[in-house]
Amino acid sequence: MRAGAMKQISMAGAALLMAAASGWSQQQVKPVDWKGYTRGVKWEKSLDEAKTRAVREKKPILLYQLVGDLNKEGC
Amino acid sequence: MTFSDPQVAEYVNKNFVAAWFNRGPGFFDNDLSTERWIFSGSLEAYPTKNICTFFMTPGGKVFDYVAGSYAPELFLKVLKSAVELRRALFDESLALKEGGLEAARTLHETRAMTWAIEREKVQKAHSGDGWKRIMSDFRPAAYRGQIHQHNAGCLSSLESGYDYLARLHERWSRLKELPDLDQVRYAYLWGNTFTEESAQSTPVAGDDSKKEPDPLASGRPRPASVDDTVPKSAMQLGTRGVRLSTGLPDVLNLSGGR
Repeated sequence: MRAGAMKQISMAGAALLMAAASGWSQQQVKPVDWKGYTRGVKWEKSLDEAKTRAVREKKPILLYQLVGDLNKEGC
Repeated sequence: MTFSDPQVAEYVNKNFVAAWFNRGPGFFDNDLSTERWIFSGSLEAYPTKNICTFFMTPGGKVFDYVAGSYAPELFLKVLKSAVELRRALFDESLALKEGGLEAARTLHETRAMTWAIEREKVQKAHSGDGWKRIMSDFRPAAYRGQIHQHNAGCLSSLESGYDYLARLHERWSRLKELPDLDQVRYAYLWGNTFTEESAQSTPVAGDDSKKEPDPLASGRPRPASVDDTVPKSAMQLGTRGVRLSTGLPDVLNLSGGR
């Protein structure tokens, strides 16, 4: 079992070395994967609620209008 | 994909209050093949009439908008341009400043010309390895298991985006007053006709950006050469031959400086 774990560790190390040798220098930045559109941006539930907060915070509104559901679309 | 980018999300949260609105069901809802097709071929810029991002005051006055979807790097420039317009137009309480409209017109005029120059740079990069320099500003991206590595083919997408942005700002440069949201919500300038509208969706009126004049053909003096070696300060001159009244920095970094 211990030998198996060691083998796994060495295989992972070899994979890392291979990745570094093949692609690391060409690809400096790791691609950012899709995480869901409602994460990160604090979306208000409606334009009216956005207006209320915009007045309070003295910020303009960003209104994103699309056909479909932002939670499901690739925007 | 754009709104899940941490930099975009942080910038949106810092400078705007965000809301999204579904103008109707789409017949391509959840159709990953369509999304993958756009992600693969038009990640950098896809100025479709299907989508529009409006920048507006709490009172409902729109001071900027952009149709379509964009890679995070390009969308950040759109966002920064909107923030610059907000500062030119409004005071801290978002009330219209005296001379705000004139300052906004000048900003739009300059943006129209500089986006057109960016488009020209892309057009000249189609031969050889020119695409590598242009695309070095864009990170690779992944979407639901698909990876987009930038290549020479991406120039076409970027060119369509820059062309749209140039003509959009050209139209905004003729601004007489800020429109209400209802005036432009379903009647905005777009760059291509792709739409997911179904019979139940509120349609968007046909307003093709190709019908707008090309800023480079306007006869106005160019703010700078397309040469990247031109000093940044040269880009801060408005095309009316005067220095921008806002005195704001070139936040779009369209002059190519890093």
